[in-house]
Amino acid sequence: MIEVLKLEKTFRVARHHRGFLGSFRNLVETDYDVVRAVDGVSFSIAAGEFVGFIGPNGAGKSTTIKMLTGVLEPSGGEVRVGGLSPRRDRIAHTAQIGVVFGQRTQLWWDLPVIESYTLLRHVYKVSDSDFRAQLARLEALLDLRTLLDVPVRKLSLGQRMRCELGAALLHAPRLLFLDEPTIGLDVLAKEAIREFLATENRERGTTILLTTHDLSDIERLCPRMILIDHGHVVYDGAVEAIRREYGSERRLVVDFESAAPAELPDGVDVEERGAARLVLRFRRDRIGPAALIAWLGERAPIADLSLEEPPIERIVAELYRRGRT
Amino acid sequence: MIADAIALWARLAGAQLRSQMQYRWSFAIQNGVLAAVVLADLLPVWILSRFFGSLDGWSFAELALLYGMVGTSWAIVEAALRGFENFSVYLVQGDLDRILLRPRAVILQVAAREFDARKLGRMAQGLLVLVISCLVLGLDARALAWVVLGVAGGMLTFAGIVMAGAAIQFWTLGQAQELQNILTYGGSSALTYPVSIYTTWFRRVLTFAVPLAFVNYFPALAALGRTKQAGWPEFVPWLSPFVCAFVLAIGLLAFTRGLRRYESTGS
Repeated sequence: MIEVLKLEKTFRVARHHRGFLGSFRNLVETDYDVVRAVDGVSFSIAAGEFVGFIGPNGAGKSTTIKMLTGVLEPSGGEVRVGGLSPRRDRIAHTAQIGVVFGQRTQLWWDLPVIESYTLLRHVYKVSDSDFRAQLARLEALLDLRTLLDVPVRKLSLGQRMRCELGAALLHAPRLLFLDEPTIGLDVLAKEAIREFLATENRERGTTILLTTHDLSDIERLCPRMILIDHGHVVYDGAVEAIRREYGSERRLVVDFESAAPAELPDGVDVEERGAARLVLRFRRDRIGPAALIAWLGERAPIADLSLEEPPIERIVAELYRRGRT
Repeated sequence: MIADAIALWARLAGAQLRSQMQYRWSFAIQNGVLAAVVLADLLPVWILSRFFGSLDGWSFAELALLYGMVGTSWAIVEAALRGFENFSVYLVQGDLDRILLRPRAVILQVAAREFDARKLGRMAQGLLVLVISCLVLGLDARALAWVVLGVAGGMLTFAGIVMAGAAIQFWTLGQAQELQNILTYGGSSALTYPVSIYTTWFRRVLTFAVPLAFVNYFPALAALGRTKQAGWPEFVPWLSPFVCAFVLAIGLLAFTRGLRRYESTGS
């Protein structure tokens, strides 16, 4: 569905001279800095995949998305989406994709939602019968029935986002780009969106590329994630594998029936020590959790314990940090 | 395909119109204010022609003809292509990205994006002045054909200017909106008077550089049968359609160039 090979995008950014005199210099001389926003990104996404596309701010995510959606022309490398070149075949390409920007609406602000939908039907040249079928489906899945006659400006953020998703899918695109679709939403609204996206991907086989800073979206929805930083792909693989590969740290909380043991095996750090309680950190590849628990149990009877994986946020933050050094 | 494009324009513009109707009072007041503006436009012309009897040989009715021609064509373009006038905002705020994400011609989407119903009032007023002046002057069919030609040429010319003006924003990143306004609003009000009253350099600008004189001055001369009398060869008014089409072509070309630049630089 998406083929990206050694994709590059460089921007020329005018260098600014500071201060009062500097502003005059800006008028006459224009020096440029060349910024490599995307620097040799390659990946491919098969039809029907649900991929999380993440990276810190300024990593080159949006620039990559803009090249995939045909808004920007790459400076180098290849992009093919559904066999088309997003830029050269803009009209054919945009007819087969849907795009939702969480921060910006594509609906007509002052008009009832259904009017926006009708306009989009004409923009995308959707036949009347296809439109009605698709609208009925989306209405049911996104629970839009009560929202369609309300002007967009009167919707809550969660309601609006459901309507945005509906708008992006009216022409039944094969590929959906989502940029922060859950930003600012409460837990219930988030869950409704996630539920819908999972259904859309499963039942219609819509390929989805999801950009988000909320990694719980990714954990919940995406079997695969692509992590980008400084214009490079830092990680591309299963979300589960990233835990195995980078998330070997574990946190163990143990409550003992009597005093906690004073000494510990090598490679185990103490995060917190109470009279009968220990909070420990260790790397699973250096000492297995079973071995550690057995070791502790030999020295003092254990009343209760819990073993925690690091949250995905920590793993990803660690990956970002590695990218910077 | 053209019919399809026009249908879409009408739908998008209609949506804009309904959006504005949501704020009924402000809609009504703005239209009222506009009527006053047009009166204010014509009043000085009337006073001047009263005072001097005529302006450079142009009676009040003839001056009103000039006003009606340029007023009508400019109002039509303003209504039909309003989006180009606010184009700098789309560049800065990213609306252009959304336009590029839709499978329709960019020019069509930009044109319809900010259809402004108040311009319909303006169009009606321009047309009213035009019709009355034609009646008062008792123009025959041949003369009326020149008037229609002038209005049509004016539409092409102003369309070319707003597109070129929008195109400049691609390079200046929305910092040169004023330049566009000088050419459109400035141009249309300069044309309220016959080009011949202006000082030489300005007359040359309006004839050769930004050829607004071809919008109403030359066609009106031809309509009134005064081309020779004004010191121009008889063929000059015939150049009008070509000059006006040329301005439109430049505008289209510049905008397409700018768009290509945007797609390769982004913002």
